[in-house]
Amino acid sequence: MNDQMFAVSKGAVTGADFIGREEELGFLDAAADAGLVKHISLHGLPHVGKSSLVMEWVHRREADGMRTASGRPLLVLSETTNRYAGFAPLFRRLARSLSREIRNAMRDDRLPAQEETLTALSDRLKEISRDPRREGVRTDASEASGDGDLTEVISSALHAIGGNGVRTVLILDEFEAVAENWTEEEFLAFAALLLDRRTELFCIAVSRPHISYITSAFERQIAPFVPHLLPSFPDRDVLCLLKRLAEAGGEEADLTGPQHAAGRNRMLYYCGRNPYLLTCMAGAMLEENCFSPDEIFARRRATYRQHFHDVVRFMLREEKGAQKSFSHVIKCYFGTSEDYADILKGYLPLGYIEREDREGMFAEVFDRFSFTDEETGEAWYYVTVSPAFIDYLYTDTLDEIRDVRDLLTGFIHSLRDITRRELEEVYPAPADWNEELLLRFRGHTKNDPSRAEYRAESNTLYAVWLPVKRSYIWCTMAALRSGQILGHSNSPDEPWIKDRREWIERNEQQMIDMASTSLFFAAQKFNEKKRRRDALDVMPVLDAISLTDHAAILKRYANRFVKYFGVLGDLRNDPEAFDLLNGHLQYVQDRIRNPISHYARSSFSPEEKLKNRSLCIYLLGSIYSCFADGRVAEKKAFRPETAETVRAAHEARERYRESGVPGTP
Amino acid sequence: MQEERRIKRSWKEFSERLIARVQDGRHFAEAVYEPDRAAQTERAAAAAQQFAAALPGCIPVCVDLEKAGDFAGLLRIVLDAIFTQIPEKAGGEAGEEIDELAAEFYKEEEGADRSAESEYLKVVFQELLEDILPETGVRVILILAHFEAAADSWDRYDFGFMRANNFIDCPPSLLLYADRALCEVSELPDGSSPFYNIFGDSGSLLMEFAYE
Repeated sequence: MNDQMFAVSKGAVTGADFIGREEELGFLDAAADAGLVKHISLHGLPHVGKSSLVMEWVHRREADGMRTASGRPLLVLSETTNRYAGFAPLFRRLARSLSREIRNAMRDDRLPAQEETLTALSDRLKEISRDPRREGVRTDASEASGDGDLTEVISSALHAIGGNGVRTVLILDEFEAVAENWTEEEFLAFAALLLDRRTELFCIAVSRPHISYITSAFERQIAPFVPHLLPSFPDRDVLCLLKRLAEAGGEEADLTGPQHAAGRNRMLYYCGRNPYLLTCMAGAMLEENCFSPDEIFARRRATYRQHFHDVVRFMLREEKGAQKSFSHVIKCYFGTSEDYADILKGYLPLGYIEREDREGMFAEVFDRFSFTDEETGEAWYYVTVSPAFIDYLYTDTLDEIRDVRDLLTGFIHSLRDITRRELEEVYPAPADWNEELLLRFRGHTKNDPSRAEYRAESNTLYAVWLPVKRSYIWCTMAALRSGQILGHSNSPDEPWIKDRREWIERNEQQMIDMASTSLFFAAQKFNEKKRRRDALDVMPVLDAISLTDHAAILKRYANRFVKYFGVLGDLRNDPEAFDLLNGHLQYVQDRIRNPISHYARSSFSPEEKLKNRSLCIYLLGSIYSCFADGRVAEKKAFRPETAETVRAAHEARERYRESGVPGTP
Repeated sequence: MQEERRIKRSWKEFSERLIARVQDGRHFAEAVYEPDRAAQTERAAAAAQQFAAALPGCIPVCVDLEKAGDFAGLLRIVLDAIFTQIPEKAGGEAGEEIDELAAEFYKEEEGADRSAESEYLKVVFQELLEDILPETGVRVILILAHFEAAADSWDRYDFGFMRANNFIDCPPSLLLYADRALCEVSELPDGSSPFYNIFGDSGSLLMEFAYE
């Protein structure tokens, strides 16, 4: 029996150990080859195989003589960002790697041999890589001495390489570390390097969080990456893994046939579709010569539980904002394994919150709902979750939970009356709690018609699940930031909203960027003819637009949205898409009018009202002008009334532009 | 904090597997739980001898972290040990590069900027172990006794540096001896452990051995 085959990885898994991901590998091939996208940021949950995917791609390119799928030569630089205490050490290392790569490439004909410039550059890179005093980006001192900084030298080397038709692939793993380690100037220098087309650089940034959350650490959030989410294993990759298991373990280990559906489902039940957990379980099966997922789970429970902690803690702490939504866990981690998702539905890692709960706001809840796992001695905490509570929890960071503490007070009070005895009434077999309690929480969705009923049952244990789209979450975040949809407390006079104003203004760019990314993706999908209906479903962004009360922010949304409409192509042969788009336009119109009336009612000053109103109209006019100026002109015939509206809006926009209303460009 | 689990194994069987792995052209990273602190140094030294005997092309370097001081101290000892032993084991173009690096390393030691020492040593360490030695077939096994001392003397980047999870089988091979679980040694103030990934499940595993 081959127990090496499923040895738990201590890093990236590549070569013979690598399973599946053919689609993603193809995507990287296409991106590296055709310049389909300039740079990619690859994000996903812990242990989903991000680094493995990228390193496997490199191995395959290596097997092809370090060339792209179409034969274009490549130089590959790969580093783990958090190994280095800052920008300069990382770039010194990159300089050294580049120096070696240049020489290797000259040796195997990827770069022209005997090329003096390249040799000199290689020597120069080697020299600066060993100088610990070399600045990452130019400072006054280095300028005075006439010494090039690291990025300058690397940039000129990349120009020379690119000039020879060679593409340089820069892989930066654990990219989230840059948020802590790099200065604003260093980040800008890096962005400039990426944006320089002459470098022929193709950067793959690998991180757990979405790139937006990393770049939000910098004032100027330039992120020339196309984000790509790496989901958990699809069915075919799970099957591939099971086939390997059968090959290694023989007939007894074969869970691939239809007669083994139950065993297979149990495996997925425990592991989700997470490659790491599935591999752990397959390895454990071989090691213990036991092919019952239930039995293995019982024996290796700690591994799986630890992974839960990792994932949920990651959701709550490391990924800020939307991606920590639990629905995200279900969607991209557990895939379609609904059974397993049920486990997490009732699970809130409040042990973590407790540690962070310096002000003791949750103490009473914990008193009521903690219990100790007799087997491991570990304390577990659960809480009854009301729809209102989860609304706040899933949208907010811990800081923000504190912000809405007052709103939670009522909820916490409602929990005081629930005793352990009552819990036992709900779950009459306390002996099963250790194993089963997690499974027994009832869940429902935001769209569940019985939600009102749940709301009334304040003493019932349940969790709320909000399976909403990522883009929707992002934009809901944006809207929340502007204090518009916190139902209980949306008055601008609320102290916590006032306190938050400054924060909102500082961070709104992040929200805009998210909306922008979302729209960009939508347009890209549309133009690539992939899931076109989804691509056109940009309602959430529209929601965010309509709910935002900052004039300047509206303007930025407007610009992004206009771009989106501008890049949509090929509507000519797709009347259905046009109808959808038209529906969106109608929606924009309605939603934008609403805030206008909102502003009219609110306590904004007359100047503010005018500014907001003018911007709303500007936004509307800008979007419609996309139709009017011919980009989608062919389709006007489909909806004569639209053409008329377009013209009117366009004229209105022009009038506002001419009148010089503040805020319009 | 990861949950701790204990497991007992036969050292003979375990070390044979590690040796087979290196013979296979691969690397390893393992942690040994040794609550008897006095025995740690002895066990580590014995392991180094065992590897040296079984793997002729390999350089086992055994360091007591309590004596090495900070991370720079460790790197200095390791580099010195490698540079001392390497002439016997490497030649050709790589040998020249090693000579060049060694000359610079010892020159640097004589004077100069101590503040950037750790950074500089990391550059040399990476160049030697990750770039040059793999081309020569020479493999380094780093055996650290009293790894628990790292909790006080290493910072997050030092842990990150050793973690090197970017590549499978990244050199050097690591064998750590500690009187507690690795995740505990490397736990950062925010509760995370950068070593958890590289050691995976065994980051929280207390792996004890029966020595014959």
